[in-house]
Amino acid sequence: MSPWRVLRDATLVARFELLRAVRTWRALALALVYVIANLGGAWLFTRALLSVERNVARNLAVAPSSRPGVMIDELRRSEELVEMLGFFAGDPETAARLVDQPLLALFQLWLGLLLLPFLGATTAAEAVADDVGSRAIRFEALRTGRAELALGRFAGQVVLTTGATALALAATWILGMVTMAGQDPAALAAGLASWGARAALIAFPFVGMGMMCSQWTASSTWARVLALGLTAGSWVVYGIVGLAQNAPWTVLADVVTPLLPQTWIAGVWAGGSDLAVSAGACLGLGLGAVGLGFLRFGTRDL
Amino acid sequence: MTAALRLEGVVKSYGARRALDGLSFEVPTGTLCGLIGPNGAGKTTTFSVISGFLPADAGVVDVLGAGPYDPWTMKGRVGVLPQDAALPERHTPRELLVHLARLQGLTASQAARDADQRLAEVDLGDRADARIGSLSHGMRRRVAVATALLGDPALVLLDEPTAGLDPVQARRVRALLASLRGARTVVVSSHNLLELEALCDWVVLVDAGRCTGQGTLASVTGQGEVLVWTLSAPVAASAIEDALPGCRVAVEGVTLRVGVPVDADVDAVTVGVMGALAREGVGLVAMRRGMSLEDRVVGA
Repeated sequence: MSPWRVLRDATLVARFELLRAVRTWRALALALVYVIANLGGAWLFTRALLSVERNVARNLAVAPSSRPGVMIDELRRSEELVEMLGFFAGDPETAARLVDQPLLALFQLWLGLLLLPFLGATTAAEAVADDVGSRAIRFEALRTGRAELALGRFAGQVVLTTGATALALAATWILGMVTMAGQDPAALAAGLASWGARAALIAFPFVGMGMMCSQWTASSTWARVLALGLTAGSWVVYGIVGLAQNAPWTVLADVVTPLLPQTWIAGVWAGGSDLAVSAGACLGLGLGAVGLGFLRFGTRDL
Repeated sequence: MTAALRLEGVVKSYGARRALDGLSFEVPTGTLCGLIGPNGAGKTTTFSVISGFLPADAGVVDVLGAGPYDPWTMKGRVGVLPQDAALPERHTPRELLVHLARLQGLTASQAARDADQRLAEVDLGDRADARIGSLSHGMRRRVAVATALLGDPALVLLDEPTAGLDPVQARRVRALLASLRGARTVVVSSHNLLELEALCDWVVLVDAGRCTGQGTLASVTGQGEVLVWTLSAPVAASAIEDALPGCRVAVEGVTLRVGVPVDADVDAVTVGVMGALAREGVGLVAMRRGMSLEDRVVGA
């Protein structure tokens, strides 16, 4: 079994999976949901920015702006903005380093961290389950290994989620250019690409989790329910382990914490080597989840 | 005789129920084999185990002399028409076949050529670019048959290939399968025993997950052992027995069955029966060597 043949087959499976997603409107539905949610969120964010700018204008006793971004330089020096970014990044120190970044891009990352895990997990939950239930997977399973099938389907879901993210970011870029004043098109595009991509990075383990659920069941409905439950559950567990103060709970928290994708969000905001570590952890968690699902898929009756 | 397919003591259970209970049989290379049995006999499970869709709990499965089916080492050498496997409805037959052919290792151009050829063979060349979801049940079945013939498989397993096809298309598929005889080993599972009798030269009988008989169609149906005559009027068994000492004779209505001893000349027995019928003034409507497959399977 050569790596080249594994890659070739997984690519073929991924391509077919993507074509199917496009044909079944699954891709369009995912993109639409994400684009609409992003546009709605971004618009609300620009309104919030405008409100903060008006506060700043009032404090400086200057005329209030009619469009967000007119007083961007003053805004970046305001306490309110640092507080807002602190809320996004979860850490005032990190927030202080972010004030020079395109604000819309930072908001996109925060929104993406909230939405993409759920969207990615529920979409990926459809990757295998229904085809096992309907036995449609037999046509491919006769011709390639189950590992290639799982990898290919997973890759298809990753591309799908990434594509939806890219579309949403493009829509947000247009909204930013239309509604905000003084935006440099290239800087906003670069910022959205850089920060938006980080949301996709955190979504990766959740896509893997959805894929894991899809490999465990023979019904996409069950797989979706399971994936949603695990995604929501991971936030709950993340909150609980954060409360651990004494042994043995702190020991348990030390074990569980690295396994939660949320743990690596701080690194995504921080950038630099922390970002690299988070990226590695997210990739590992995503592939680990797919592998965990494969323990069942690799040996189950098809 | 080299076996293209050999199962030995294969067991497969679904929970407490044993679908295959020590199933053993062989299919010689180049034959067109019918896998026959009642509902729930284990035919579909047998195909699924051979194809690697279901792991066997015990026993030996030897496909093309290379052990159990492995999609990596036997890629493209086995074609399978699974029963009740849904086709992707939003794709076109050509897209599906090209994708599957590419997974079998063909290049893009080879896959496109092969897909078109297979679709033409099942008379779907003009619907190659229609969505599978828009095709009738029979057309979908033919698309599935086409997938099983992709590439150059040495062994083809077809589970109910003509189910749901109209008579014209069923005949066309039968002709297609007959054309594979000798070049490939084909195993067909079907409830249509007349179809299998016309098509197959090797049969395997399965019941309750066990093999209850296997061999050439002639040997299984007793073509050298039993002669069955349909007469124009009933005749007394004694009149035939007198003319054929040593043969077992049974008359049921207008059906006359003559059991031929192992060392007897079948042609001589035939001539003897015809002479006796002539003497009794009874006409002959039809004659068949051996039981029908239906009689053999149903046990008439």
